[in-house]
Amino acid sequence: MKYLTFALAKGRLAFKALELLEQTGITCEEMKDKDTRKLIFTNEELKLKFFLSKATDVPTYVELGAADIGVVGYDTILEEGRNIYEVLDLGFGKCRMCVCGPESARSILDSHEMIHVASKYPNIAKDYFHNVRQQTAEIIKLNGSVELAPIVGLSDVIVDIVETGTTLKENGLTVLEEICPLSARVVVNQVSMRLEQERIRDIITKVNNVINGGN
Amino acid sequence: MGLDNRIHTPEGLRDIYGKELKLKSFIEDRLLDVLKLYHYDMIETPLIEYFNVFNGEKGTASSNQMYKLFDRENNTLVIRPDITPSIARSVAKYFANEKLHIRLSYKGQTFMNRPRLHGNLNGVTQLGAELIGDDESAADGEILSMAVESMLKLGLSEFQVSVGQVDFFRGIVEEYKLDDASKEALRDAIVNNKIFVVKDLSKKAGIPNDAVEILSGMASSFDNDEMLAKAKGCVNNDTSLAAIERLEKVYQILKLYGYEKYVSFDLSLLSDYDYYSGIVFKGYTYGSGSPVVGGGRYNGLISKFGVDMPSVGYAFVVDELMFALSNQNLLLSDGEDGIMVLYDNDDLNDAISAAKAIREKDMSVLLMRKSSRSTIDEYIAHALTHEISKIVYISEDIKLINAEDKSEKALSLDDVLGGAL
Repeated sequence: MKYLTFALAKGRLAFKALELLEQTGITCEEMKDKDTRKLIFTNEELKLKFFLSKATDVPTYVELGAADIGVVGYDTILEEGRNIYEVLDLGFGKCRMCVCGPESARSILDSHEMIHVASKYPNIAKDYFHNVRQQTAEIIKLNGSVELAPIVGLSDVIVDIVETGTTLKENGLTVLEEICPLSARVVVNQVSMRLEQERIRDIITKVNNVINGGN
Repeated sequence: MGLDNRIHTPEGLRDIYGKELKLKSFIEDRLLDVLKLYHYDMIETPLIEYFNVFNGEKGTASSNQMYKLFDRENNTLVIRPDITPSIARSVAKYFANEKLHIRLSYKGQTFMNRPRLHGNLNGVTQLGAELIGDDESAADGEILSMAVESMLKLGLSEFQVSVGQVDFFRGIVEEYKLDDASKEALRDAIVNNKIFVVKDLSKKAGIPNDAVEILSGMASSFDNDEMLAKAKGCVNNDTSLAAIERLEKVYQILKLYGYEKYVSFDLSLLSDYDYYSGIVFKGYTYGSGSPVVGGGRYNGLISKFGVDMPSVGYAFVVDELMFALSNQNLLLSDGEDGIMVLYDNDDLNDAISAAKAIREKDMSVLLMRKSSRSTIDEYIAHALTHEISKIVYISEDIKLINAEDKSEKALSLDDVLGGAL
């Protein structure tokens, strides 16, 4: 039997995904060791391999077949635009992709004049302003602390993930428009989905039973 | 970043040489063997064509994925992103009045201008076949069988060809009266295997659960008969039923060829393109993250060039097969085994006579002068990298060296000229 390889987005998502897999009988003891420096973990009995990677890289590993299955946020899937099968909504890691900014920026949105948008998600931002709002937008790609941009005058608004909205509020920003809801997804390589159909389908069904209680 | 690009190829494009090129030719030769066995005539179309040949859902690439240029009259030209539209154009031009079936095959490089740093090649070689003018299931069966036979000829043992039928989906759209927006949403969900979205959209449209199973690919099984029976049981419209009946016929034909076990029916396989009108298929094997072959029936394509003719075909992506074969460590023996004739500077006369005599026996000879700066071992290593196991070394005497174990045997010039190697 061949190994099935899982790529998990580092951090909370990976932790929750492993918890979920554990409930279906898929475990990876090696991974629980907090001090390990290993990059790849194996379950010899079930012939499974697991590795953690930066979230944005998960769709890449899966599209090119270096991993068969991935767990990653919908935000990353949208932003990366890779050719992968998105087979399951895990329902956790729920948040929203939003256009945020100071209340004063609402008039720029309403008037449809040229707008400056800062984001870690330039593709999502461009798609939203270009195709959905049909508004001319100058997209500025940032790599972190995006909330700063409208405060220091780098941009009018930002496009970012909003979970509770606390950071926004503390910085005098607010959600101006919602782009789409987000959550963790299971993605599968298109070749693996066909060649390892039975095993992958079995995993999907079991995971689905845990999260949806059999519905 | 003012990189000096004199020695570089453009991004996503590359040189292929040495062992890799040998592997590539090996693959192409096996695929061409099958085309010859089924008597498909080769056709060569230009690398550069008018944009209109590929534009407007005629090719597999979107406009912004095509490399474009302009001719002197300012017409937009593209470097072809695939070859099927060129074949359709040629058929409309040269074979419009042909009453009998036309069988064409092609091989060529195709180019797509893809996003940067995505790890995909921008230039790949496609090799394929088109069977034109035949709308019957026998034609579908022939094309599928050729695709299977090609994979077997390559020595692949673990592979699968998934076959769908786009009319099944079309029938369901009609039966449940989906509007264009819901139809596109459902198609997108099916194509990207978003099982949970398919379920959600189907529930809203009132499509029953067993049909959802089929559409989301969760019901495809290794028992093809059972799968088709199930699909038949869950629809109530003529279009979908006709689609299943067509697959049943194709399955019977595959059985006649003896290739049915390599094929698995999967009705979640759709195409993004409207001109696909019947079967659609993709072939998968280990070691490549993408399908190695794709194809189907596109009866609406040639009519976009002004002539109405049905057509079915496939295209292998040779570069994906190269990944697959090398990752599966499939050893190739092409029976190609040459001889190195190595000579000291003073022995050029004998060396050329020897090389000529061996070549006359249809064996390939790598003729090399031994430099005093390189050792015999370096030449032995060179021979091995070129898959040569025998070296005839002509100096004061003549020796036959076995490159693999370095054993030596004395020879006379007459031995060599007489072909006693």
